[in-house]
Amino acid sequence: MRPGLIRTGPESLAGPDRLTSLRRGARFRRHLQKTLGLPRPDVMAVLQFFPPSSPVVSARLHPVVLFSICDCYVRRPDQADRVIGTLLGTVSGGVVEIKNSYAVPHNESADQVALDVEYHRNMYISHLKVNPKEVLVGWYSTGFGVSGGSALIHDFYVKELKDSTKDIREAQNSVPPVHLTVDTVFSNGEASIKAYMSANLSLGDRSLAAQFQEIPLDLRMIEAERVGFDIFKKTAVDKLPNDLEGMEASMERLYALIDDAYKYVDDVVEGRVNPDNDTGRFLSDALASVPKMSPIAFDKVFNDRVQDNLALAYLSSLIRAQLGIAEKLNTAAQVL
Amino acid sequence: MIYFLIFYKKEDEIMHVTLQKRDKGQTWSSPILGQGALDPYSADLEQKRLMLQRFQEEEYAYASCRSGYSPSRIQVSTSLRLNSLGPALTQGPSWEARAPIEIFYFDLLALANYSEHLAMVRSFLQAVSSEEVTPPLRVVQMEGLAVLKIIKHCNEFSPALVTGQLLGLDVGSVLEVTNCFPFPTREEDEEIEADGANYQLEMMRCLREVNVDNNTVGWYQSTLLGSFQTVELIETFMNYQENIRRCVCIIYDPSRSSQGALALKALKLTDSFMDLYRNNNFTGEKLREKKLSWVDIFEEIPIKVSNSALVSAFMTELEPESPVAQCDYDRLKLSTAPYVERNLEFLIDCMEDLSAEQNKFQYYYRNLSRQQAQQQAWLQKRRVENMARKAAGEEPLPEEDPSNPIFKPIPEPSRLDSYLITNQISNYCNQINGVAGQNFNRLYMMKALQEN
Repeated sequence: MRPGLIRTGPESLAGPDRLTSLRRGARFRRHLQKTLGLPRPDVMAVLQFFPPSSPVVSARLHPVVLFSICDCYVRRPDQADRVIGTLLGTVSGGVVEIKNSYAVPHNESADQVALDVEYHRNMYISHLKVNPKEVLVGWYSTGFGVSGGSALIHDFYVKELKDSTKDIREAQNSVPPVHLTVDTVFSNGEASIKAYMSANLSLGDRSLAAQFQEIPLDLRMIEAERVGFDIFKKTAVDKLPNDLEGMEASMERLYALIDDAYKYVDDVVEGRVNPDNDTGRFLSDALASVPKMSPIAFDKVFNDRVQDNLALAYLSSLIRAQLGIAEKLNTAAQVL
Repeated sequence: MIYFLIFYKKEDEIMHVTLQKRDKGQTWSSPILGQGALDPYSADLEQKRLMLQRFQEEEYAYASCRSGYSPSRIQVSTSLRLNSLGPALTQGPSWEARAPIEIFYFDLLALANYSEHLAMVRSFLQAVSSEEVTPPLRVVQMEGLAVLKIIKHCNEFSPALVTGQLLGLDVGSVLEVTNCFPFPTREEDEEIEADGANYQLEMMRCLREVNVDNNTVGWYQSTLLGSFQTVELIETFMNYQENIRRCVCIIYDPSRSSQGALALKALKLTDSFMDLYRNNNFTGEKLREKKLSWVDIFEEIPIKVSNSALVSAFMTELEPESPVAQCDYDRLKLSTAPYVERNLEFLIDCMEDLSAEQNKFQYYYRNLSRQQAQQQAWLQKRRVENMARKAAGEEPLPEEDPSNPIFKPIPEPSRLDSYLITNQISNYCNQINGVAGQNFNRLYMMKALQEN
């Protein structure tokens, strides 16, 4: 039977007194967290009791996954209070990219957890048909922190990962599954999305517990940024912006940025704000990146481009006129 | 309260009893207590039918009132109804099991009371009656999740073209798309057809288990620079339309999105075009009749994006503090030349296709006029022959000869292709216009920067 699980995370680490270095490590980590606000992988503290486990990995989350987890949480059946699902993605160079996910129905009671394995396998096969490169990389659950049942589910996923990575190339690159928790209830008053890797704490032959170490999670949502955060932040967007509107918005932002920079420079010159070397360097780099051309050369290039664009606009209106005429001719009254 | 009208007709020795109710909607299960009652199921059906009738009456009466019908007319119609239902009750001494009889008695004062319930009535009417008038589709509402999934799938496989299924709900004049799943790309192989269907069924079954709406509302596909108006698209639309009342196709263009705009479009075939296509009749006359031009083939529907509160809370938390996002970088890029070049290439190809189609038409017209001339010549000859025969006293030959090849009607080439090509060309033109406009903006900005 599995002994009690160690609940972990940078802020809480309980354990027997023998693990003093763990405690020290925990204090150091808390210090780091306070100063830098970033969780550090717990590499140094747990090496004593088992062979070095996974290489230092970090995870990168794509926005689709977050959206789909929230959607599954909103649609969960009434009796469940959390949602569990599989994560798919790719692993490259020590970074686990989580690209896709799907929910798996499960039943959870006080002492046991039942996961619908058939469903998980079926969905996995279906997803592989679409994109064979996205493989199993872990699993997610909503709710804060790691709970008791999670260890069992994690074991199951470890086994699944071993089963699914059949070819040798993958096995060499194999990274143990990642566990992602998404706190949908905002229990700390903030959105906390954390990724964990599990390591087995074993003494000799007996496995004592599984320790979930937090790994750095990159949440930069480039794809969502591309589309525009405005579309995803509001609960209803009435109209997708077309080209010119988007252009206008970008220009406005650029203008605001330039205004800010201008004000900052003014303040520094007047002595109102302490100059910061880094910012100053950035500004001068930015200004220097404007290509230096003699006015004549620039005018020539500029006029050429403007003429090209005008020609394009003219061409397209000409073609439209042609289309109108062609249509009239085609459906005009017949010769008879 | 029931009023009885009893009269006795001398000739057939039958007593006619006409029952008239004061309150509408109150039915009784049988004319005589304990005899001739309907079984519960049919009684239920009858009840429904009566309710429907009643609400229809109310609506009619209300509408009549509104349009200024005189009260006397309404009275007349109800009295007719009374008369028509009256004889139904006269059956003879034995009462058959008959549906509960409802005789309406219109109270004009009550009409005023019904006016405030009209909206409720209308919705009830729609729910109860089987033939609904579907409101036209005005807006497609997509969830952020569906948008992201489509973008991800299309971007991964670009420049290959991919498709997927849309799932959601059809509510009034809004088509909601709540989820989607991609189709595996398959080669043209007959045996994989069944696999594709299996995959679809499997996905829908699995999604239903996690409470996702597994109602198909259409499909999405990626496109390359907007060249999606093909006959296959129309065929797919017709296939979907047979099974689903309202379906929509979402087109996503990953190449245009690299310019910083979200190129997502929702398309639908117009009804008039669908009728024409079903009859497979694309001659010039028919099209002129229906006043159908190339703009009327596809109808673009505006897209709204909605997000659940949870998701928008997350995104608001997680939004980076930088005031500039990736989309701004994309939009302010100066190098649009490759995109414009490709657009122009496609445009030139399409123009060539269009001129080929026009040549086809010219050829057809020329043939037609030549055939006409031949027919005239032949007819003349026949007429002269007939005159000669008449003079000789023989039977005149018929003036038509269907076996002669010059009378064979030449099929008119279908205009569908030229319409589709025209659509594509106009699309390219629009895109080029858009890019040119943006380029102007950027160039003038560069000029301003230089001057400083």
